[in-house]
Amino acid sequence: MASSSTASTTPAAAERASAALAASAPGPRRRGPGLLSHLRFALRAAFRDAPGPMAALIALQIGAALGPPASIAVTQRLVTVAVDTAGHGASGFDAVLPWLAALLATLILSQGPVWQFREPLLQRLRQRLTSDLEERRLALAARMPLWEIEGSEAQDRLDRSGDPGGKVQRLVEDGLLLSATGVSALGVSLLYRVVSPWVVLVFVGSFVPLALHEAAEGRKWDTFTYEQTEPQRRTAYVDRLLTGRAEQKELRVFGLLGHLAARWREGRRALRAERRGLKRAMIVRGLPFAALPWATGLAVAVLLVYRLHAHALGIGAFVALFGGLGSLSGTRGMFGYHLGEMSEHGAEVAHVRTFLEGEPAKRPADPDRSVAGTRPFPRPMREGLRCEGVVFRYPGAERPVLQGIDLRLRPGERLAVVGENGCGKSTLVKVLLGLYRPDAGRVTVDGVDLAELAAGELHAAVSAAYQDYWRFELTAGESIGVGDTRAMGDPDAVRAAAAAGGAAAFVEALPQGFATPVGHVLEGAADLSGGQWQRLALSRAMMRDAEVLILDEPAAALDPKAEAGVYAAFAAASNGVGDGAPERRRAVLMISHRLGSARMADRVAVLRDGRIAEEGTHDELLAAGGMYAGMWEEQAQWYR
Amino acid sequence: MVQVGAATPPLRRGRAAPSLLRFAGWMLQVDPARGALVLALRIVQGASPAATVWLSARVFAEGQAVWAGRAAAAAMLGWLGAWGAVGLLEVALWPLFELASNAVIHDMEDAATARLQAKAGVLRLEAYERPDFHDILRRAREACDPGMMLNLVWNTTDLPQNAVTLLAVGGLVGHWSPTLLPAVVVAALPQPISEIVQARARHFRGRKQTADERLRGYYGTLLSNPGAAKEVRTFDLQAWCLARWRGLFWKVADEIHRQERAQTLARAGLNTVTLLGYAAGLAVAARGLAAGDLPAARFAALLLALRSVQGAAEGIAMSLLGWGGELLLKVGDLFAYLDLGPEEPAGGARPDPSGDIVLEGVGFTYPGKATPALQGVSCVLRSGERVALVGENGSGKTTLVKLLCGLYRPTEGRVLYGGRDMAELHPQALRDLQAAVFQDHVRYAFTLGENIGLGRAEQVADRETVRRAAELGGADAVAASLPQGYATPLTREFEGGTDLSGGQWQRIAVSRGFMRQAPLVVLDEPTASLDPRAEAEVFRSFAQLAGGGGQAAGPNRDATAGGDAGSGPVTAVLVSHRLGSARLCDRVLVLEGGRLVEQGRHDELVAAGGPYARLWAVQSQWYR
Repeated sequence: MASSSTASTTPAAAERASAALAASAPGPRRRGPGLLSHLRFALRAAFRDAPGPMAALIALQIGAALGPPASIAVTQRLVTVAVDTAGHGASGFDAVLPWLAALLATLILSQGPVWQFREPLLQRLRQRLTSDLEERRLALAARMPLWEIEGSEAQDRLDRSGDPGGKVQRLVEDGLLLSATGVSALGVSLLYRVVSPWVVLVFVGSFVPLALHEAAEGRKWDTFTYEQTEPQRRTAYVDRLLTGRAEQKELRVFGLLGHLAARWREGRRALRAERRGLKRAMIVRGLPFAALPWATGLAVAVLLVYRLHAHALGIGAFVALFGGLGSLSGTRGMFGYHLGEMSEHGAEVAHVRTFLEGEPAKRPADPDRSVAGTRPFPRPMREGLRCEGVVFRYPGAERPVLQGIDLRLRPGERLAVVGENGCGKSTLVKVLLGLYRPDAGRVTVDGVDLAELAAGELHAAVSAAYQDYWRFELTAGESIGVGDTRAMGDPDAVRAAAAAGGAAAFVEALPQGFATPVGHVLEGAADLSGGQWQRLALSRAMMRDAEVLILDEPAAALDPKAEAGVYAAFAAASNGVGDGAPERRRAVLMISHRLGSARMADRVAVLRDGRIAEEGTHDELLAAGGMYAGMWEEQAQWYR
Repeated sequence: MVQVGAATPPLRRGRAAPSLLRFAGWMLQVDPARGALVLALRIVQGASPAATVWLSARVFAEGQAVWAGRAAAAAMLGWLGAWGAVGLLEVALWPLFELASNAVIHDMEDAATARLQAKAGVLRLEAYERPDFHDILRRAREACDPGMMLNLVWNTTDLPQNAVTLLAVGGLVGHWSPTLLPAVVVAALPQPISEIVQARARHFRGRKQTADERLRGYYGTLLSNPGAAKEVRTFDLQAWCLARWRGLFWKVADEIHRQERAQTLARAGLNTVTLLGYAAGLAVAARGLAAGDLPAARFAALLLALRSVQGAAEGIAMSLLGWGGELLLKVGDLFAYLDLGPEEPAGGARPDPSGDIVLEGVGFTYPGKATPALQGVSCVLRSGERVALVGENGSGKTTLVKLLCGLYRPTEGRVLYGGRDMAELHPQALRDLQAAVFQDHVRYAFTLGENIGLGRAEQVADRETVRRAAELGGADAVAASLPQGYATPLTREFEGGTDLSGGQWQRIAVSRGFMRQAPLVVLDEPTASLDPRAEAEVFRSFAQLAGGGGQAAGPNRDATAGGDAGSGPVTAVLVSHRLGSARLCDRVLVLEGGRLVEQGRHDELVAAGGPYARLWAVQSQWYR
């Protein structure tokens, strides 16, 4: 799927791109395991997560399954007695009474009060399943490599596997209901043996084509909904734009509401037309399967009349069995319905399974993720970080963003990286932080490849403020504290980080200080400006006692005073680690378009077309009169 | 209409019955033919139980005669045929109903979402700043869910069907045994009535829990959203987020479950009462049978009829009060959102494109906030003037920009455009005279060309115009670096998309602003993420905008929608922390804590040694 529409111009490029994607995209969808396998998976999960509710549910279903045949049997006696005693006065009434009580008992057992207890049980089952499966799903999402989770394919898979607890619960429920309906139908059918054993056979036999039909329809529907995921997501995206808060002012100023609404309608119409067409075809195909029960029912009713006429059947049995025809056709309808639901829900569970049990996606450059590294991060760092011929290409992109980077970042050193928009600075940051694995070359720390470090070692030793930082809409204190969850409970640590990142002043001015919620998620939250969010992101990066600190355009949205504060922090950051002993000096890398800040760096690296084009101190590069000098001239002219 | 001002009134709670009528009316309005068909079919379906019961009674009576040898089988077969015909009619009408109801459900879903969108577009922007706005919108959105519409359409059409069943079968029962009917109906009522209380309790518990639920959802988002992925990984937040998610999950889940369990006991008890009523009704019938008042065949038919009556009575009460009532409270949430105000005016005077913009004692306080974001701002932006807006983060620059664009109405004072209060102007006409680049611009998951072209949606497909706007805003370099150029789909959110850097996105946003030629141009921090060369280019384009009619202002002045809008001078407002750009402006306005503290030319302000001079000193030191 994904590989067929990959954005590429030349066949060769397309081939390369699809090779890169081959591992990440599933290609044309294969037919996976069938419905029974999904049902097994769902039942296993349900018994594992909620054995108590499951046992109770099964007991309820057994009661429900036996209800209809029992009712019919009781009705037969009741009517027989009623006809026999009609007009007999009080003694006739006394004879009817026990059978009325029996009828009441079957109703209580099968559909009335006892049935009410199903809802809380199902709810508990759903909750336990959600707790287990949704947590696994989220954990898997959080473990995905960055390049993968940034891609549409992963987002599709995440979308499809949403609400796994509800999906599995529905399939389990379908399974239970279907078995109960089946048992019930069998029980009712067997009552007709007094008419003719053939009737039993016809009734039971009529379930077979129905089952086959529903299964086939379910498969078609499944394929259809799978293919609609991406267009559906696109339409939903436009809808989100139209009702989004952040988007409103721009949509209004540019008068885009009408244009986007038309786009949404168009997308919807296309999705709808297809969906409606398919549904219509399904309904038409289902017609014979709806007519079949009616025809058999009528035939059996005629048979009942002849049996009655021949005195082979009592009037009580006639009334009960005649009434039973309605119940049976209802049961058959329910059977078909549950079967249809089951194949639909089975397909949903299939998405959950694909996500939870699926093979992790791989890029050619990815090492085997099952073999984790074992080396510790060298503390204190002696030689520093080093890029050796690092090449990186985004999946599906034609050419690499980084085309052989050689760069060194020593402990205690302040390095400024500058370059034009889109030259690969932010990508370099992600490679240095181990978020992307290079396609060629390697990144080492004190000679150890980052890939060989034990899990968690690298992240414990580095920290970063990203250009497109995330707005953690928690409390202001938490939004900073997530930079180091072990220390976030310590108000002093959070306050110190806020001071270092320039957030302290405005946070303390908020109504509840560090306990003030920010953003829109929590109630009563304060809305922050872009510059204030950026300072929270910077403070977050300051939470860690990191060996390597990376600041990606930390001052873009800041006012001049705050900007000066950030540059001062950059200047001081290299001797910021813990005890301040000279051998424990931090390596700092800053990306900035404000070249004034580069003067404070010990060294400046200029990135161009994915390579390091110039390297040296500010003064050296200025004297060299190259690209850096040109950029400096462009900017400094405004301030002279 | 619920107005949004400095004080936000709480929304009134929705009531079920008016919502039902409004929903039904809406359904007939959205899809008149099919909506009416669905209703008609359900009424026919409502009549069929009565027919079945009556025919069954005939069949039983004939059956008794046949059994007693008093009649031949042929007469019985006739009644049986009629019974079969009713069944056939049901079988035949079902697919028709399914088709029509499917279509209606889809149409309603679309209509509801379209209304939601339309409302989002006409609601004044201040409403979005309401603290409870997000909850209102979220609940309204839940009411547009596909499953919700299905349930609503079913529920709404359940009512007439059940009413017909109740009347028809009830009439039959009443005809056969007048004492029986009221008893049975009354016995059916306690359960649905308890549902009113229960459903309301659930609904308002749900509202109370929205905050916890939303926060739990947010932790889930942190774990699965690509935007948060970098920081979640760098700061190893996975375990922490999951722990919080889990804690909130069980907190909410246990509360829901406790309530559900308590309600179940009540429901089960009341349901027993209903069944006892059924049994009691049958006992009464059996008495009549024993006394010889009721024929046996009717007694047998009553077995079917009484449940049918009870079912219908229950169904009606449930539609209005129970499960259906809960649904209707939810659709009430949608209606509450649709009734929200204030809306943008639909009409108004045409603004004078060459007029000055005058602020008279303008103040603005965000809804629900105690302190004003802007206070007592008075100044004049003369037509054709270039104005820089300078100040610290949070000093009110962006708020002032929104007031200038007419996106917010001042809560104090007024903004005049060409001598008229902006509030009196036609919003669409006003916007035709504006172009703006916002700090938090939108990154559309569309193609690069569309991202730029949406600055003037009518010209989104006009390649030449898009290309010229791209040149002015610096996005031409972005296009050149992509293999498919302007046709490249952006963001990897969808198949085949490409991600861009922050600076590249900003170039696109600025280019989008250059798609329109307008007498008022507002650039809010247009160069925050730009490299020095691109920044210089944007500043130069800006400088050319105003003064002297602005020949280089826009790529195609003749194509301007407003006609005369393109020919006059351009007033340009630049918000920037890069003070070098302020030198290009005719005037600098300095904001501090929501007040206008200084204004004048760059040189004047530097010489004055005030707040601006201090900011300038801090920033220019890096370049000396």
